[in-house]
Amino acid sequence: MLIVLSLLGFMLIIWLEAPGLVKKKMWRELVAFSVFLAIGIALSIPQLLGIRPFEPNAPIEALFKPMAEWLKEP
Amino acid sequence: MLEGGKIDSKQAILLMVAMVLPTAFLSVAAVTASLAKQDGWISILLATLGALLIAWLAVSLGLRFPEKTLFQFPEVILGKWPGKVVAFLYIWWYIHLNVEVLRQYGSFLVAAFMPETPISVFMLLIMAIAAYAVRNGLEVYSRVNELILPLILVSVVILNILAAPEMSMKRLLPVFEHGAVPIIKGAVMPTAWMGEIVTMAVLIPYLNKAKEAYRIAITATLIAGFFMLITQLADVAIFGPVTAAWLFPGLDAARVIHLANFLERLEPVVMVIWVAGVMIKISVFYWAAALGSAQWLELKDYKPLVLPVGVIIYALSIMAHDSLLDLFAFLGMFWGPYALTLFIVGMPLLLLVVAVIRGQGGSRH
Amino acid sequence: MRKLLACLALLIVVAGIFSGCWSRKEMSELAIVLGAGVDRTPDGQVRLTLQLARTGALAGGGEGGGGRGATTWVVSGTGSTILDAQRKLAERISRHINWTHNVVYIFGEEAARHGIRQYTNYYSRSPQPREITWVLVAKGEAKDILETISQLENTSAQDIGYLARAKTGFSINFKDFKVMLATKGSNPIASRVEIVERGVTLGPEKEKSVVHKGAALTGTAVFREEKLVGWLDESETRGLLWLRGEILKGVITLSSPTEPGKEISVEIMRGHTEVEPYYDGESVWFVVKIVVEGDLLEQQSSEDITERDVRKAIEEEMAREVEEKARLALDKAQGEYGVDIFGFGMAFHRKYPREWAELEDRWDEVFAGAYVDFVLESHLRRSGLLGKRGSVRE
Repeated sequence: MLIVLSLLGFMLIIWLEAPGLVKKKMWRELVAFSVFLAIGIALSIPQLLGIRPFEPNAPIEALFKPMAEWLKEP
Repeated sequence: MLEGGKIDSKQAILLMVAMVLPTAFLSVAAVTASLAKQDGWISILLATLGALLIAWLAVSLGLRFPEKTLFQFPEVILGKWPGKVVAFLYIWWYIHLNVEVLRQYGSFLVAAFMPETPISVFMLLIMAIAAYAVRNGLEVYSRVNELILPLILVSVVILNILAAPEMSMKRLLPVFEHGAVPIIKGAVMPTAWMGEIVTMAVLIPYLNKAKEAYRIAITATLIAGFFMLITQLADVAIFGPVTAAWLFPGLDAARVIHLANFLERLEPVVMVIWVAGVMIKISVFYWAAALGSAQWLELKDYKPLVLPVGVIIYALSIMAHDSLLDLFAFLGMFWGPYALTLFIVGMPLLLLVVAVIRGQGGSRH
Repeated sequence: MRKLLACLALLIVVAGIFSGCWSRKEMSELAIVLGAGVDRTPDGQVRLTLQLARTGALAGGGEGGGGRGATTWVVSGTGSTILDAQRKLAERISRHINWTHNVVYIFGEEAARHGIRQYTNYYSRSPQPREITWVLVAKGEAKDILETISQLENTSAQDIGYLARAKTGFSINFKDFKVMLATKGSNPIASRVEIVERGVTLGPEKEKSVVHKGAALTGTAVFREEKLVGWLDESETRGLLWLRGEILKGVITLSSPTEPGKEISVEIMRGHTEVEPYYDGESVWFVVKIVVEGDLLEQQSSEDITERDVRKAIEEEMAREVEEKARLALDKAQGEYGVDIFGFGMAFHRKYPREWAELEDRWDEVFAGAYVDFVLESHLRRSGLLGKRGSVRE
């Protein structure tokens, strides 16, 4: 159900933006739009299936651990 | 130019305040009080001072290239590819900022008001509104903010006045009990908050009077700092050592208000401040991310990217944390060092130093 | 056209996900908690007692045939935590338990003696209960207190709430109670509530009059850290209020300076207290300055209070009376319980932050041995509508 709704949402986005770009022959924009949307969809689909593909903050936490620990220590 | 709108100085000031305050108002006191105890207000003063330096840094950098944004001038300064990398990191940062703000927004509403509603509903709705605002452009949401922010600031002042009977200034004493280190630690997060003023480097090309940029950045920082200061003082005066335990001390300060047995339960005011304020905050960063992406790819228009960027922000926001506690642990401990060293101080300073050495950009001084 | 369709689509989505707000609850689906009591059962469980408003009876004005007793419904349930007990209660309550209008938290004596901190957490973690709810400790069981009925108010929980709000004794809200629990150098205190005879309800004939028992505030519960150690009675509580410099209301009654056996009553109008700690590296002592202002409102004796000397004598007597009450509370806290319940530790902390670090862990001990000096200043400001007495023959 949620997947269907989300797919409808993605289609709505495409339908809102793409025809205008085609009409105005803004091909570069269309490509950028498609790539960004593809990334967005790629990030969404696994979560809709109940999978958390990766933790976006994990590398940041690893990198800044020493400073964070300095902050935390009393 | 991608963004056709221009805003005047007053709008810019209000926008820069609205970009910092809404989230800070709610939880700044807990973050600083957990590190600096009752001296948290000194941390805020320190942070304001730091943010003023950051504002000066960002504006100095921006004014060297008054026609270009933070996503464009790194190329001029560092050369094409290194510049692209820096600009890309900034796009990521604006997306990441929004990821965290959006998550905070939903978490608060679920935790404090509607525990049975899925967080995604709140997040989806505010993103839809923000997307609409961003598509309409800088000028439009700046004008909306002109209406919203004064109401927010007045509400914050009124809430604090109404809560005054519950305050005891003695809870702020003794001053400087644990020395300077905890105060400096307590200042990290507020500095990162107010340091979001680096967004000035994105905003300068869209100002009516670019030469007022210094005044804008400094006034905005002082206003934000002032409101953070009174919030901090009020929350600690009300809750003393308990302040640090709250997740949202700003909310709890409103919850203790009771006057004449009828003026009670003012949390909905906090909710209104939160929803309206965060809407603007999200819009600003969302706009910066979409605009930056378009400029990075040298597109003619940023509007086609608004919705896809929104999908990315939303998806990452759901993915970023599995619980509210994780969110607060990340924001309280990691966000400050991360944002400060890389995006707020590190890269702007690097860019400015290189620009000065290479003598790039028209300096007006 | 495209815009219109987009709006339509958005509307459908919004309507879909908002098929009624998620957390919406109608008034008639709520069981509104007015008072909550926590007792500890002998086997260490939590017994939660809720006084629920019978909204139907309240709305009907409460008069009618059913009588006033039916405005509330009191239920108890046992569990290992408060939430656990509440969940068990929910099986017996047909509506959603709603805490947003709760007026009082009452902790049973046994629960308080075993440490109160384990019972307070739910009330601040859950977003429903308010921080301004009154905290009281029952002499005996909290359940019994909540099962009383009030003659004047709709419910006994509200009755107790109004008593606490009147601040005639010591009363404290949940927020300040928590701050006390969290502050080193102060021990928590809360009002004591107990069942006493509270007057007579008259029937049509004298014989049918009923002596009414109800809950009343009768002093202060004293904690050491988080455990109840004892009580202060009403007059010791007066002293406690003087020493803490809390908003003071009430009356000082003193014996006439010229006529033994006759009394004079002065209504307190204003007062404040300053506690000045001193430390010489070895011993700690305090100077407590109390300023009191009052209006003379009753005089059994017949001396002429318009005369300066008489007024001065009365003022001195006022000061002596206040100091005596303060000493009473102080002696009990220093001697019998050995706990600082006056916030002297906080005053010391503010003045000597460095030295505090050494003393904070054994503060109560230090406090119990500290010498306290009183400096009193009293003023008789007004005397009601009379100058000297009117009914006395010259």
